Amino acid sequence: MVLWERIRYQESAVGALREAHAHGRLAHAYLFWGLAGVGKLRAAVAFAQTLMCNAGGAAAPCGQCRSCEQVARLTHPDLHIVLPARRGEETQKAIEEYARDPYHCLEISPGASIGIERVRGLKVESSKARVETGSRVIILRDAERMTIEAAQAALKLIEEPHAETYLALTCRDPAQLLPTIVSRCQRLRFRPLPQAFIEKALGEACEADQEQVRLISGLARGSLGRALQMCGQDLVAVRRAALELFERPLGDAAQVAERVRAVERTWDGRSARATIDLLMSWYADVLAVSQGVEGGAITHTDLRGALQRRAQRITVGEIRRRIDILEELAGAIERNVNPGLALQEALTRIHRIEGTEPRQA
Amino acid sequence: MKFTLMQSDLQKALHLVVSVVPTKSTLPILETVLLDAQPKGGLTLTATDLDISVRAQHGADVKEGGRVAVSARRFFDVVRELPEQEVALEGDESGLTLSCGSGRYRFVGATVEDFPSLPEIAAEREVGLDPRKLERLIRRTLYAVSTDETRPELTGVFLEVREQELRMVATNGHRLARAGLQGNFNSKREMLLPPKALNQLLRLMSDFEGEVDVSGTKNYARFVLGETQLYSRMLEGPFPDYDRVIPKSNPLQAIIRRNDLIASLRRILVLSDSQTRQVRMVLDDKQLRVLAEYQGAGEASEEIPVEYEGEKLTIGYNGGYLLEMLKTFDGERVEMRFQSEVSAGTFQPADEEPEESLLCLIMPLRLPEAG
Repeated sequence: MVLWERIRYQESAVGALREAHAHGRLAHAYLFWGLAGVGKLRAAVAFAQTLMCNAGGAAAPCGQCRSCEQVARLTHPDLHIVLPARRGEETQKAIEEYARDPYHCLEISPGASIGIERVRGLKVESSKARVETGSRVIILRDAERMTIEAAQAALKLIEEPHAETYLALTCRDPAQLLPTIVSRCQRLRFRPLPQAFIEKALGEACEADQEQVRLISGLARGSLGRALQMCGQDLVAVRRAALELFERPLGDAAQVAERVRAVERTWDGRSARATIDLLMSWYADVLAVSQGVEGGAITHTDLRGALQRRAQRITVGEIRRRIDILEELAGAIERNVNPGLALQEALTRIHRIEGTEPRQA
Repeated sequence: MKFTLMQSDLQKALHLVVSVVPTKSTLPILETVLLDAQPKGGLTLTATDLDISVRAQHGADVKEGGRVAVSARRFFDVVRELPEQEVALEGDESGLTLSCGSGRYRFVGATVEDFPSLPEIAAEREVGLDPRKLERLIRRTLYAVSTDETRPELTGVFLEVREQELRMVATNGHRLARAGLQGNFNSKREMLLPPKALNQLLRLMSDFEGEVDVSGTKNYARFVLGETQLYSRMLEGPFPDYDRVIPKSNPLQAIIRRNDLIASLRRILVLSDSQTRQVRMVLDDKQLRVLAEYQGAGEASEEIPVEYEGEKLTIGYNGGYLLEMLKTFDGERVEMRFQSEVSAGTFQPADEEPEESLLCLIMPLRLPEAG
């Protein structure tokens, strides 16, 4: 099949690539950047299919030749996909699943990185002739997860292009990459997806009731990947637990420890991220309501009453401080800090600012 | 597909290809062996790790043609344990069933279309070579390749076919080995071959009689050994212009007995710096003094008779390089040529077979001023 057909709502990036290909004006390195879960990796693979198609020229990708099919199955010997991985972690199974299921979202473990030896492997591979007759395509997913040494090695790879070898890097924010890498790549921005599209895709990809789908697509903030990850969870229950954890007033320091202990067993990286996402959107809603915003901008429409009550008892500054704490918590989880410890730290800080907030009724 | 053949024949053909199969790979298809049965062509087995591919053919009674890819390791492990009798194989896209005596063995098939294709190369003979001579060319150069991946073009052996000569050259930037073979090759071809392919070729040639045919495409080299073919993906060059670094005339010539120098170096190197393996060679009237010292370990010196009548010359070398090189030489005597203590020395066997040639070059080490 022609993989471009699966990339939706990214007309500007996809159009630029297809245009450059049609006119023989391709750069040898591209940087696909934008929010996670909007189709950057899928677009990179579709791009590879265009470059590697046996039909070549304007007919590419035909979607039917041996090369097109091998790219779609991610088994083409000249297609190299590098994902961040933790030491000793296997990515092969994940890639196979990703190739099989168009809605599969490749989850990257917290703390995973792209090490120097992976980039060295790519350099060795590039020094050899191609296995098949077409182009060679190297995809580096989440390029910002390259270690410094890996990034420097990758820079050499980008600086000294080999004939018929193309690189596609994906990342969320180019500012997190070496500027020397960014400046040598052609940048293409991938935009957040419309909420209506995410709702529709969720309907196709997983079984969830209307209320869940609405909540998820609102929380996903334009990321289908994030929406799909949330799909398997009972978000209403997760939200209840999250509000219980962060919004119920803390009496004293002992209560902080007790509350951490109560959730510790089920509190891992994944549930932490779901909780943080929910709370962020909750505070965003509280802020919106306190400023008198109404309608579509609110995610937790089913809890409008609670939002209004909360908005009356909290100042903008306090919401900000809570959001800061949550952001730091998210960062700590991302950096693979022990989730329980990170939670304890966050709750302790909330307990400290609570003394300055008016008590909830 | 449907065919029968003797267990011993199947085992022999499998044995040729399975050594290529990687134990672990990012592409699962590489862990399989491709069986291709054709009513006219018999059975063809192929295995690849993408760098090198081995294809072995064997006659078989093929009733129905077809292709199937199954786990190479498992298939081979079963076949080699079977008794020597006829085996029947039947396969389709989903897998392969092997029947032998009362045994039935079913192997799950992989997606045949994922098996990497090999380039089409004309069947005609291009450059025919005596396997023993090819073996010598490889042994005389392969050791000299670089292992430094920052200069990938130096990690391979350069094979160059000209009208009247075939050459193999390897260098790591500090030493170089160039082996040649005269003959009417009437061809022109340049290939940069990875060591892995040459080691595999040595293995396949070890009990092969007959001629080895060398041919290729832009990206691949092919060696045909009768019913077996080895394909190697080439390294992307360009290989450096090696002739430019070989000194045209080194005026100081010395001739030494090879075994004397090898034996001395083996002893002297024990007391040389384990990093640089530096030895000091002092050439003087009719004698070569070889010295080494390693702080904290000791020092050593020996004198070896040599045919030399030039001025006194003191020159430093990596003794390990000298020793490795001398082991690939034949004949009793070695001709060494120098210009000065800072320029490349060249070495060659003094008594070489008429159609063969070997020239090695080693860059000297800078010696410390004192001592």
